[in-house]
Amino acid sequence: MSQQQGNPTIQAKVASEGKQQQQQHEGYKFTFEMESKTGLTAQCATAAAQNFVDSFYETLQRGKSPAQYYVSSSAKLTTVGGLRPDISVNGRVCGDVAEYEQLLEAQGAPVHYEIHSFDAQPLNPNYVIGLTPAEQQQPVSSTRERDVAERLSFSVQVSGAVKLGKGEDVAEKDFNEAFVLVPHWEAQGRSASRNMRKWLVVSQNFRSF
Amino acid sequence: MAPTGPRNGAPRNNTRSAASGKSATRGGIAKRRAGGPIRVDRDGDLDMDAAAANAAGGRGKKSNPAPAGSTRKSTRTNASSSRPPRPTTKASHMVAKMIQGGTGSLHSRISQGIDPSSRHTRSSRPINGTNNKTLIVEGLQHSKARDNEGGGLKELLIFLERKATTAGKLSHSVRIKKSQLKGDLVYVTASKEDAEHIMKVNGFDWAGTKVHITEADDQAPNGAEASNLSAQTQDVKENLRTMLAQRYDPGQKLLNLASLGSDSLLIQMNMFQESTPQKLFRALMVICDEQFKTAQAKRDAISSVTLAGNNIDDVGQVMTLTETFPDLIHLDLSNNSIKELRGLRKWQHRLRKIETLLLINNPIDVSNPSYKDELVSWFPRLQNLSGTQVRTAEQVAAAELANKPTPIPQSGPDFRDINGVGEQFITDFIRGYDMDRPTLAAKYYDDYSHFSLSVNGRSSHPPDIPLPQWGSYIKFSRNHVKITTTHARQQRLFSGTAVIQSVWQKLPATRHPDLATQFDKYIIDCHPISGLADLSGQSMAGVDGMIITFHGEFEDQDPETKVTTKRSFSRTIILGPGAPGRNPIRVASDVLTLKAYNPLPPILGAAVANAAVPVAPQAPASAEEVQKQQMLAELCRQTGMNEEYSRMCLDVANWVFDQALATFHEKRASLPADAFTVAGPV
Repeated sequence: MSQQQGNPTIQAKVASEGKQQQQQHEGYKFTFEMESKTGLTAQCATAAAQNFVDSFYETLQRGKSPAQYYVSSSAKLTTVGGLRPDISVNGRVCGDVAEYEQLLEAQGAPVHYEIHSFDAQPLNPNYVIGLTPAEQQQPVSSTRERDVAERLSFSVQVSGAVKLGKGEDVAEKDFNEAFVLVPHWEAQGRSASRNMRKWLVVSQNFRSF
Repeated sequence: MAPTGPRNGAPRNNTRSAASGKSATRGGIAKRRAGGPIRVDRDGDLDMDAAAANAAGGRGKKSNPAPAGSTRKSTRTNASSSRPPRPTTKASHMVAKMIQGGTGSLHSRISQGIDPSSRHTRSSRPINGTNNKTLIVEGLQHSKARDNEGGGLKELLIFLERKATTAGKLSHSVRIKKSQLKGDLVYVTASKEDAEHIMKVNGFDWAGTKVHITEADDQAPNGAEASNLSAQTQDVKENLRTMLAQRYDPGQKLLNLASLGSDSLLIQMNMFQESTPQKLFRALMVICDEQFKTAQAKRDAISSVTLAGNNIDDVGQVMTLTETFPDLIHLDLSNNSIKELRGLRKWQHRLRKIETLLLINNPIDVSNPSYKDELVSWFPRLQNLSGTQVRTAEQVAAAELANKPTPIPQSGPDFRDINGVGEQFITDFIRGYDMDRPTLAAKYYDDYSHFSLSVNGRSSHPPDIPLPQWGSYIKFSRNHVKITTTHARQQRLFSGTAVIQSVWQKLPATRHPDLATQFDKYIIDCHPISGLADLSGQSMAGVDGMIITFHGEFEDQDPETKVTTKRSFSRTIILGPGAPGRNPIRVASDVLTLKAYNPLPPILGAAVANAAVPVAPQAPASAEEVQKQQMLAELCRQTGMNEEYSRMCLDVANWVFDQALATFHEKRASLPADAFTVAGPV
């Protein structure tokens, strides 16, 4: 994971503790603003997660490439933001989506995902990685759902069963999968293609039991 | 045509939109389009066999007249080949009469070639169900259509259906399920709804007469005639069953259907005057099918069938074989008339278990010698093709293994920690969640932290463990599969220290296995993540943190019933830098999923982790690591800071001890109280 320029990391925080206390007032002003959005952000996260869960597993079931679901499909997130998806499958870290697809391919078909439960929480109401500094400065309305959704990142946890094979030979395993999704900048705006995912996976952790 | 409901007997796999296939969807005994009956295969596609077979029959008639006493396995016999293929009820009546009495369902099964797996439900469907109504139609005897072939019944039924549909201004077509000619009266059976529309046709002009429709008192004309018919069919059926029994070799599990045309019993029964060979074959297959209660019993009894010497030129003529015996292992089609691959094409996607296929002495050997390669590709288990070994059993097994889906393999923990922050947190978290939740929440959760839990009540669990009660959790469960309203989802998201503390207080007390000594009861993955909200407001672009997903088990005790239950859980926690003046690490998001207890699978690398270092992404510790541990211990000792803060301090100083010590003295005043161990600095 490449680090964002100027982002304080956890350890740097200790060092700059004093400086932060000076800025404390300013900091809470920002977060207070953030809190006023929480209701809407939770709602957006919930709806976006629903949409994601519904279509992501369908794509896997059909044996189609899930590449469109990942930050690697966004030029802004990869080049400006320096992101690449962090995909961890049963403890194995995939270097890219292609490696993940190889794992899926090796798994074979038919495969069926049964979703037993899922849950989502808003993470950052003002996610800006991949935006230019000028774009980052543009204020976002916190009262309109569409605007809130535009800069929202969120986390999802899915629990279910993956069924391999069919008929009598079906092998069933429970699985848990956690995701973090971030806004797909190219999918926003009027001229954007409607086929694009509105949020992209930046972090994925899969475990079967 | 709009599809009708399932109770009307139109199976899903039939297409009612294929006009010529329409009659094939009927559940009743009266099929009105036959004569080279047009069938619909299990996918709903029109079966082109009838036409193909007719064409083949036509050729055959010119060049190769059927020898007396034998028969072609073709749709045509002498009787039917004299007229063009045209819908008629006769063919269907004949099969029904031949093999069955009152229950038309059996017939519908044969003529439709239903997938065997669905047979039971179909055959148990009552044709005279309570939703049907029988009407008596008068007028046929006075009509001009009387002189038509088939006595005008077909035309009358078509007329009734069409007029009833238009008279009722219906979007779907009225369907007559069953019809029977009894004397001058025609009994028609349709669904109650359709029957009402048919009643509207009462008094309409048709073929120079008026149609008079009344409701029948009875469901169908029963009486002596029907039972006679039944007795007769029973008789025929019994004879066929005897013939099959004679031709069955239980030792070899072989059903010998070779040279049916010269079977003395069939000739004696006059079968080839009464019926077409194709229909006879279907009837035989239905009788076979009836002998077995389950598909397994069928597999156990019959693994081989020979159809040698039946003059088959297209397997469509014996299509029902693969429906009755989908798991057939050996099939002999030698001494038939198969000329082209086309003649076998209909079985390309069937006979998935076939291992032996004999096509000796068929014209295809000469006309298309390269057919064998293609046949081998059609049937993945085929090993013996006309006496030649085309695959070994090992090759078949290897290919099947390669095609079989295999779960993604398990690897050890993917624990990409940042300076031990994750390790420290998880240890602290599990201990705190069991011992002192309010303090834990106060330490790591702030006003912008979220917590929610979901109950997954459908997870698998060992059979010997009873399903747990979820009473204490279910009212908080935010499982989006079950909780679908925006309001409820909103209510069950808990944000802010106070709210989270109060929810945690309502959840049963828990006891997690000790992380240090029972690490095999956990799977913990974590990795860094960027773009989290910066509560200090410093960084527009957000801050870095980490995402931890861990799986394990705990025991809880219901506060009211005091019942102890073991459960499994998966929990995803996202950590970021804490707000100014708070604990340096905060929980941004905490998503908990609860499941019935099911022990985790042993995963590779779990054994590597020892008691001292619960989470060891890489073993064994390098010399550098050892040195770092020593520095850490020394800094803790000298400053009185706990391990977490000492480690951060050292990280900042790039593990130069003196510099770390200097940093400590510089920042000492701004450090929170919980940065220090209880003892305080020495």
